Amino acid sequence: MAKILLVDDDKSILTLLKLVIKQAGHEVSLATDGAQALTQTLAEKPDLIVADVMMPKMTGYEFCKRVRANADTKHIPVIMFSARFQPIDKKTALDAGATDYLPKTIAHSDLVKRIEELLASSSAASPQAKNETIGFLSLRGGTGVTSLAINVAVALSRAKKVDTALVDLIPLGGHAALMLGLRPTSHVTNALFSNNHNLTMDTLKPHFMQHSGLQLLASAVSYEQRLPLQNSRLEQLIALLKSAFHFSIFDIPGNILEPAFGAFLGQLDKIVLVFSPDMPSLQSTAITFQGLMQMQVPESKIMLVANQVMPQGALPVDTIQKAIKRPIAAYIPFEPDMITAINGRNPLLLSSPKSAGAGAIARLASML
Amino acid sequence: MGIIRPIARTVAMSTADFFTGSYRFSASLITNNRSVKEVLSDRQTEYLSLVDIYISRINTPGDIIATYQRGVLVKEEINFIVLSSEIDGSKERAHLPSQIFVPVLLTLPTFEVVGKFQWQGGLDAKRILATDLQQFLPVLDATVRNAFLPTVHFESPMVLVNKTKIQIICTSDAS
Repeated sequence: MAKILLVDDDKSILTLLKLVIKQAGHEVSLATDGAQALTQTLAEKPDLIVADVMMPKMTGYEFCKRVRANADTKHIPVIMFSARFQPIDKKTALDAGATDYLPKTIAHSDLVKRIEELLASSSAASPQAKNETIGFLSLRGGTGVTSLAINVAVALSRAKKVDTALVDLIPLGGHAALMLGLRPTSHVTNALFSNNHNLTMDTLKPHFMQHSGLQLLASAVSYEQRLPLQNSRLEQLIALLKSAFHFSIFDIPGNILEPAFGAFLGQLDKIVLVFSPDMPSLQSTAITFQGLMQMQVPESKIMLVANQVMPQGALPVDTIQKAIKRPIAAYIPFEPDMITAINGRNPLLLSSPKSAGAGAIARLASML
Repeated sequence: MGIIRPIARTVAMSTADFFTGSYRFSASLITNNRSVKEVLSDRQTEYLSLVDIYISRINTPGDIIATYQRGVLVKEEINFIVLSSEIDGSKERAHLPSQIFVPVLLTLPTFEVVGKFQWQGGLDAKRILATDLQQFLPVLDATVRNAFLPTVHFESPMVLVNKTKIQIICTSDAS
């Protein structure tokens, strides 16, 4: 979720845009003129600003120049959004420091898409951006956790254009390599245990495989090579990847929910707890949540994500949230193209990038 | 500043760019639920009531030099009006079999307009100038360029050109 400041003297436009952007999962604050917007920008430090050009007291151009002139705010992306839509207007806006310039006649979906793109690129470029380690976890199978982890990793790698690692920690026969159409030449077991000394990036590097900007550590494919989950090595792995990659995505097996792995889970910056919107999965999720709490994983690190893997019979979001007594961070709708993507060994984000499911996954990625 | 709504025929105001020889006025025209074209063709008044006016000089048309809440614009002084959508002008582009799109170049004081006329039957430019009742002619898919500063140009699905300012109309065969 990002903080977005909307600036327009037309309150009906503010109301409409607030609704649209909130629906995309962002926090929205409003300002009705450039001067007020400048005060709010300094106080709130929004992640992105959408500003009209034609406003009384201070035009959008002047507002943008002042945002850029302040060291604390100069990095904030500003979309200028105006009924003045001529090429010269775009040039004037860009000269004033706007990140992009869009006509007010643009479809709301296109505005939201541009916001997501700019948020993704700005978080990668921001001086405050820090490397993140994110675990994808589901206590039970059948929730689509692996396909979600893969597609989020692809989205992060492509949209944010940053180094992204994907680690399949399923001890044996994990599906990440298969779903990416890769034949593993090495695997996590080799990466962690072929060297008796401390792990380094140099010892890890030969075991990575590349796919669309991703660096994959695959799961073992034969019983002899299964991954012995050992806490100290996993902790070292997280620390190393965190130092080397902007994003490290871990597909975590459900059986890691044991006290011995508390430190490992606690070391992750975020845990995406994936469930399908049905009663058995909700029950598992509630139990997993309880387990994570007992393992001292801070609740603030846990993101609940509903992934609808069946076309019908999904529980409504309200029912889900009441049952698990917490808000869900994202809902991935049923996507018929997902199974085609899996069978075609090509992630949904690449095979059907315009599908509703891909859009929802991209939005989830932008929240990470 | 109000968005140019695609169903502007039913709103009280419509935003557009009004160009005289020296200035660009980005403003909302009070239409009282008529189309921009209908307001312009209203022979009962020589003036347009504008609100939220943002003024630019024509040599730097991106820079806003002043803003005012209200103003009255003399219709006769307008060279052309740039709309963001042709629906704002009057009607959706009709697709009658007999309708043709005629490539056209018009010149105005300090501006040249390249685009298309939508016409039914054979185009008679003299008749348009002499007898057509509308003071503003719609030019579709238009690009307007300043004759002295050719890099300064404006684009729109529809430009409304003040007929009394036209110096020449040049046409080619219909497309």
